[in-house]
Amino acid sequence: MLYESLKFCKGNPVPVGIRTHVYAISKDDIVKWPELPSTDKVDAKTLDTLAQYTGDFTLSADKKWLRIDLLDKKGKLEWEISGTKPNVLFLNKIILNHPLYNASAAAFQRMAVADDLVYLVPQRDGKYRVLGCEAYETTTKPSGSTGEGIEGEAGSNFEIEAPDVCPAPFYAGKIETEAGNISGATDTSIVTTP
Amino acid sequence: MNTLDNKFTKEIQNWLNTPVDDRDIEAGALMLLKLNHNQFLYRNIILRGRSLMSTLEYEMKKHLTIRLKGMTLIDVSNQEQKVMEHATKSLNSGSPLTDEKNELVIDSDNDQPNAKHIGQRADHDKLSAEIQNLYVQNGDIYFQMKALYNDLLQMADKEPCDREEKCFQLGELDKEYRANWAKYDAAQVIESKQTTTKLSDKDYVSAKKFISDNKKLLTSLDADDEKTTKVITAMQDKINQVISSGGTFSPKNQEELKKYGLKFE
Repeated sequence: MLYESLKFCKGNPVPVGIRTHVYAISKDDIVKWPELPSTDKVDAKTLDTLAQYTGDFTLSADKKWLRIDLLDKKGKLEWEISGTKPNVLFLNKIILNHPLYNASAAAFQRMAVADDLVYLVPQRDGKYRVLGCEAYETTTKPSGSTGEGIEGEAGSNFEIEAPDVCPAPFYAGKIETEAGNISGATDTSIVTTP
Repeated sequence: MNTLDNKFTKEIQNWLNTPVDDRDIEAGALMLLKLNHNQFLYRNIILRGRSLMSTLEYEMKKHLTIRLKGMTLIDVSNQEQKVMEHATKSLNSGSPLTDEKNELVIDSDNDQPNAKHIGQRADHDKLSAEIQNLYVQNGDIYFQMKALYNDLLQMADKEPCDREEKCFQLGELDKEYRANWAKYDAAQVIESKQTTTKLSDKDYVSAKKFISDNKKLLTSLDADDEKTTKVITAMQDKINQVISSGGTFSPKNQEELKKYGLKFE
């Protein structure tokens, strides 16, 4: 076991929440997963790498991570334990609020409810967290509302629950999207020189 | 969305264009894994390395051919479903050459809403040779389609990409087969009409003079000249008019004119 001190320097602000988009893909379209370091073999050299995938997600040919735009100031990533010692897992949860309730959103929800998806959720600092792992199925519970009156809250929601051995692992690898590759460490484009 | 990633196609091409000894086998294996999801083959290639280079190359070339047609694997699967459905309809309707009762009926579908496909027509012999040939041609196509169709059924345990080439051929033949039927069914018998009318005395003399004058002209013209062709066509027209008006030409004159390809029938 690799334990280290958990320090915090006062005066450093801690950004709260998630950014206004996530990426999702069906597990069927992932042909190779990055690896999460093992706690017993001490693959990780430092504490922060123990909860971070190493390597990249390799997607099936012609498949890309799909972007879901979210409402600002909504959605929080949470985790809690599930089960009893030693058979204990982390249950990673988030509710995503997509502003539209159109046909595309309905179609996405229709498929997601019965599928097994993986979600990449960027924190405010740009670091991505992974919901969904190779071993356990992800549950996506879609819901939605047209709102009421003229100022009611409307949109399509995705309540996600993903059991994992780790609290929503970090992912610093490559994210292949329809708009190009971005880094899971910073949520910025990866520029490749020809 | 099911969009073909052209950048990935280019990567496959580059890998295949690299000399065998310089190829990165792990990169190739990973590209193939992305294409066929075959984890067993991927791990085998990683473990056994270059000994499986020929297998890897064969598989990569197969997928490259499909991608260069602008098709993803989902497209291949969809195409196969469509082609097999159409071909089944065509083949179940029977062979056009072995039908004896002229009762051959092929179901129309959305592709050929107006096609009748009623086998050999009663006026088959009166159709132009070109149209008659379509009927015969469809007989050959039918048996080619049948062979491909049976091959594809025997390959049911393989992946759609393995059947793609034969499926593509079957689809092309089926299109041609249906198009031929459509043309054959729609063809009309064109009755030949007598357009020539009996010449008046004045026109008869004029036509004879035209033939006589131009016979002299032909001796001075080059056979390959475009003008020669025009003159001969016009002379043939006048000869036909003279003959249909009951006129005749002396055997000597006929022999001289026949040298230029003119006919007296």
